[in-house]
This record gives sequence, C-alpha cells and structure tokens, in this order.
Amino acid sequence: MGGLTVLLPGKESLSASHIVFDEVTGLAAMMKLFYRETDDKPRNHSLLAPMLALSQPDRGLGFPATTTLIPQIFLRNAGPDSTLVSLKVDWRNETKSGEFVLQPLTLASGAVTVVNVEDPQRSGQIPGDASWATVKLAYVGKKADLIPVAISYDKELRYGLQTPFSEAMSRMWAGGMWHVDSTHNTFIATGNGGSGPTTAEATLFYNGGKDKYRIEKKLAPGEQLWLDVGKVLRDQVVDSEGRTLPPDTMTGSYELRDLDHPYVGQLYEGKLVIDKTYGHAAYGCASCCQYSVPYFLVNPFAGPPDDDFGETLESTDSCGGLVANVTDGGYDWASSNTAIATLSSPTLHTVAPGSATGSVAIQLQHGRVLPNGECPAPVFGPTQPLAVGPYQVEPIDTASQGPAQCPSGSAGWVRNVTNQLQYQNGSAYAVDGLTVSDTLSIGSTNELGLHGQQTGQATTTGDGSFPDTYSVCSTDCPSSGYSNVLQQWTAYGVPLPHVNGVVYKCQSITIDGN
Amino acid sequence: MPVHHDRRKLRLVPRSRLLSLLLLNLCVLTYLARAEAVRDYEVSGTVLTSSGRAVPGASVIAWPFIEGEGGVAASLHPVRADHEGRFKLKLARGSYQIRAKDELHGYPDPSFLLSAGSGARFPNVKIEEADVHDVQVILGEQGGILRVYVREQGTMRPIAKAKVVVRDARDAEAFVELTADENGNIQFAVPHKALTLVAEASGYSSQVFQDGEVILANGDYRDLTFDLERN
Repeated sequence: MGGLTVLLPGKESLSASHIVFDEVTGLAAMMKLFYRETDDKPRNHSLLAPMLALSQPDRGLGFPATTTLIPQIFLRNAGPDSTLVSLKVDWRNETKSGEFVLQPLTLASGAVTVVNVEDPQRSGQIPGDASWATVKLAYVGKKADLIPVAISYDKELRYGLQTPFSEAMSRMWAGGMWHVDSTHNTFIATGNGGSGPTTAEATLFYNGGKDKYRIEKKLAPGEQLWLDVGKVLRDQVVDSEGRTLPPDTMTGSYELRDLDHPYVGQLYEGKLVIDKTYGHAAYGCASCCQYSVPYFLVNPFAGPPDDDFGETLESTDSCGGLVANVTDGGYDWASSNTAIATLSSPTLHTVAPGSATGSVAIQLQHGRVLPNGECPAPVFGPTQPLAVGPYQVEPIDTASQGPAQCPSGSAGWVRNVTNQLQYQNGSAYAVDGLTVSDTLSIGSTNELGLHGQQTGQATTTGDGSFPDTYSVCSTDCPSSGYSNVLQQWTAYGVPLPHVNGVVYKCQSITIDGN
Repeated sequence: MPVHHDRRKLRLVPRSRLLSLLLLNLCVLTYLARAEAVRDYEVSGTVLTSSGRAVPGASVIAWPFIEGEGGVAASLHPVRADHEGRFKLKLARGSYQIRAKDELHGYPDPSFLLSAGSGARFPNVKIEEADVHDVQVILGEQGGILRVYVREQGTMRPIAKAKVVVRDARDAEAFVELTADENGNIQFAVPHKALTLVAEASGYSSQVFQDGEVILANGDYRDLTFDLERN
C-alpha cells in the first residue's frame, strides 16, 4: 500500500491515469490522480465524498443480498509537512440521517493510513441499516497535500465502489447520462455544503430533453437530496409538480441547481451508475456551470439629465448558452461623480450633463474548473461609461452649398446643413424643443482676415436636428487661403464636451473634416 | 425702410448698483463686462412680398457683415415667421443684413450668389445697445421650384446623395450644388433667371440637362429626371 507521485519539473503537460485491478476477482478501479500546484499557498481545504456505500449496500445497487461491504477511507499525506486531518461521516438510511465524527488524526509527511468506517457501524455508532454516507474531511495545507480516496468493497473484492473527493461546490451542475433498465440503475445525489440552508433542485431530463421530472427540497447544512432513479421509475414517485416518469423511460440527462444561491452556489454532487450484471458501479461527475464575464447591458450609457434608468447586468451561462440577467447579484453600485449621475442601486439617476463612470461588484462562478474540481467564483467589477446629456453637434446632411451672396467687395461660400445634437456615440439626442447655442471663435490660422465672435441659437426638433447655415464672406476672397474657427455648442447652459473645428475657405466650408 | 432702434439703454445691473460695484475688486468688474458682451438683443419685423403681402412661414436669418477689410464667418440659425409674417431674432452686437426666403412658394435662398439680382430689399441693422423693431424684409422676384429625381440608367434605381449643380446661364460663377436625399430626390427653389443643370454621382457619368436652359417664375414647379449611366 502506498502512493504515487508524478513530478513535472519543467511544468510540462501530461495526461496520466492510474488503474488498480485484480485478475482473480475481476476488480478494476480507476484511481483518481490529484493535481498539485507548486506555487499554491497553504490554506483551509474542505473535501467531500458524497456517496460512500456503507456496510449494508443499498438494494438499488443490485448486489447479492448477502454482500457486506467494508467502507474505508484511504489517506496519504503528499505534502512536505505533517498535517492534522478532521473527518466526519454524514450517514443516511431510508428514514433518518445523522453525523458521526471520527477522531482527528495527524499524518506525517509521506504517511499513508486507512480509516475504517466499518467498525463504528458495527458498534452502532453509525446505524447498521445506514447504506450511504457523505465523507467530509478538512486539513490545512496546499491543494492536494492530502490524497483521500473513499472505497467500499466486499472482502472478496467482487462487489464494491469508490467515491471521489472534491472541493467543488456550485450553483448549478450539468450532469451527463442516467441509465435505468433491468441491469442498470442510477443514483444521483446533491448536498448542501454551505453553512446555511438552501433549496436544491434536481431535474431529470428525458424524451430527448423535451420532458423533465423535477424535485425540489430545502436542505439544511450537510443534508442531501437523493434520487434513486430506478426506484423513482419503479414506484412511480411523483415529483414537485405531481408528475411521474413514464415507466418505459430508460435514459436521460440531469441537472442540479441551487435555487437560493443563483451566482455562487453551495451544492456538491455525485452520481453513480450501477451495472448489476457485473456488480460494478461507475461514478460520474457533473460539470459545474460557469458564467461568462458579467457586463452592463447598456454600455456605454447615454441619456438626458434628471432621468431614472434601470440597470441590467448580464452574463452568459455556459450551461445552455443563454444570456442570464444577473443584476440581483450586484452590490457596491457606485458612480464616480454623483454630481453627474448617482448609482447606489440598480437604478441609475442622471443629475446633470457631464461624464462619469458607473461600477458594480458581483461574484460569479466563472472560469476554468480547477484540477481538483473546484469551481472558482471570482469577484468582478464591471464598469459603465456614463454620458449624461448631449456630447456634440454634428452635420448629418448637406442640402445645398455654393458661392455666397456677400456685401460688395467681398466673396465667399455658404453651406446649408442639417445639424444634429448627438450623444458621444453619434446617436441622436432626440429631445424636441431644446435650445442650443453656439459661439464661433477665430482659430490660429486666419488667412481670410475674419473678425469678431459670432453667437447664435437654434431649437431642436424631435430627432435633435435643426437647420444651420454656415457662411463666410471676406474681402480676401477669392484666394486659396483659409481660416480655422472653433465652434463651441452649449445645451442646458452647459458647454458640450466636443468643440467643432470649422475650416472656412472661399470655395468650401468643412465641419470636423466633413 | 423704417428701422427703429429702441432708445432704452439696456443694462444688466442698475446704474446705482453698478456704481457701488465699482468699489469692488477688478475680478467682479471683469465678469460684468463679459456678461454685457454676450448679451442678446431682439430684432423683430415682418416679411413681405414686393406687393406688400405678408409671407407666413418665411425663413429669416441675420447675415453678419463688417465694414472695411477682412470678413465674417458665421453659423446662422434661421427662425420661422409666424402666420402674419412676423419674426423675432436674438442677436449679439454687430452689423447684420436681415434676409428671408420662402422656398415652398419659389422665393429662393438669398444666401447664394445664384439668387442675386432678384430685387429683394434686405435691410441692414446695426445692434449696439438696444433691440431693433419693425424691420421690413421685402422678398424679391418670385422664382419657381425644381423637383429633380436622379436615378440609374437601366435599373431605374434612385441614386442617393447624387449631386446636381444649378448654374446661372449668364454667370458661371453663380451656382448651387444640391445633394439628393436617400431616394434620389431634390427640391430646390430657384430664382427667376435662366439656369443650366448638371447631375453627377460617384461611379456615374455626369449628365447635362438636355433640354437646355430652365426658367421658372410665379412659384411654378418643374419636375426633371436624370438617368445617369454607370462608368
């Protein structure tokens, strides 16, 4: 008995499998390999093995009635230091459940030990008719410093199964296939690994995913929702909606969901498919569902002052690929400038023209599932540029232009345009009846000898547009010279951030290069 | 033409208060001076035809000018006359010519050199420290309205943003370049004079209006179609 370590000093990529078999009994078992990261830092680890079969096997496993299993927990300290391991066994029978706490044990570096769970069951500390248990262990160290395996085999190693340990808890698990017929059965379990109660939902999909069977259950910490799918079929157990699975159904998929924690869940899971012919049981792992990086639905935001706007945060769920509204998970809503806009909840209130940045924090399960099966849940901080009020005035159409009718002795050009009040992204600031004013200031180049500072006012129509006539007359025309003019627009009495550059020539007028 | 200047002195602050403010620091005085400089004055009046009939809905602008060398650049915002042809403009200090047009009825845009010589009487006003009222703007000779449709030869599809140049047949320097809308349409009020037309668009051969000069008067409409050939 011992352990196995594969070292990759150059951090190469390697796929490795470990199989144990017994030619006499036909036993074969995959031994899970645990991934270790040398850069990892020591911390508290809590691992769960959700489906340890106890001495008296569940009848649903299909083992011969005389079969007695020997439940054991194999532990190896692969870390450099000794570590204290605490162990608990949450057992359950047909009607009851309970907790049995084993003595903490200290494992020296490299030490291997086997914890026998058969004895406490034989002594009555765990009821004899308890068929299943969830094993919980905790230690302090780096990831996979402790290598645990929970196994249950009969003494001939003919019948038995093992249950993997995992640190993973999730809001949602997408499971693979369940299989029930005369020679197969499937057990599906999900448990509450959190410190408070939660509502778990287990859904069995069948008929090509078109129909579903749904069980919902409030779980106390440590409690499990357990589905013996063969029994559900055989006994026509009704679901939370009063439906039953059609008796001829044999396969389907499943999903587990933490209804009370939609963003960072506290459910762990386990699945067991039993081949009754050979007495083999195969554990299947569901995939924890991930969210994509969350974002503001409206980004950037642009709107008028003194208005309320309901913010929406969205993210794509890797399970199903649908865009989910995750607004409820947001907290610490804030605006960088409350004189421009306030954002203290999902409601944005615009105050006055100007720019600011909205922000929010949200924790979601996201990213690559870690090698130990852990589903990471980082905190994100999506931001949203806020543009309150209009940003610019730009021409959207030129109806006519040509030589101007100027006072005697001068010549010039005139261009009739439709100007439009716009947001920064160029979309119309569609406010009817808004008075805008402009001031023209002579720029650094003035080859046409322009004088003075012109001002004017206009009123917008429903799409934010208004007619405007740009003109120039100069005694220096005709010539090839030009004058640069800055056009500052004002709305709501506040200068717009964008200042137009107008180039006046004797035979053309361009506005912002157009 | 009667141009009445309001004799009332316009001040932002009462004289007595201004005197007391003179005792205050220079910054305050600077601010007041700036406030006075950007003060808007009102210019109001009526738009009439040469026969003295009011022109409801006329578009009125104040065309700035200076006396002497140099020039003026502007961004002009027209106002619409009411149902009795009356208008009000808000203007800063300066010299302006008050111009008007009624394109729907064939009174063309006076901003263009093409419209010169129509006999219009556009008064000059000089705004110093008072509003100006009772300005009379007399439109010139009534021209007509061109409705031009530019399309692609063969497919007959409209050519969006096509250009049509309307030129004075007797003065090549006087012209207006018109831009078609998304449907290839242009509507434009032209003066009562002989005009030539050329249509052009990117990717197409330009085309001169084949039927020679166009002359419109009395608010008449004329529909023209250009079929441009692809290059």
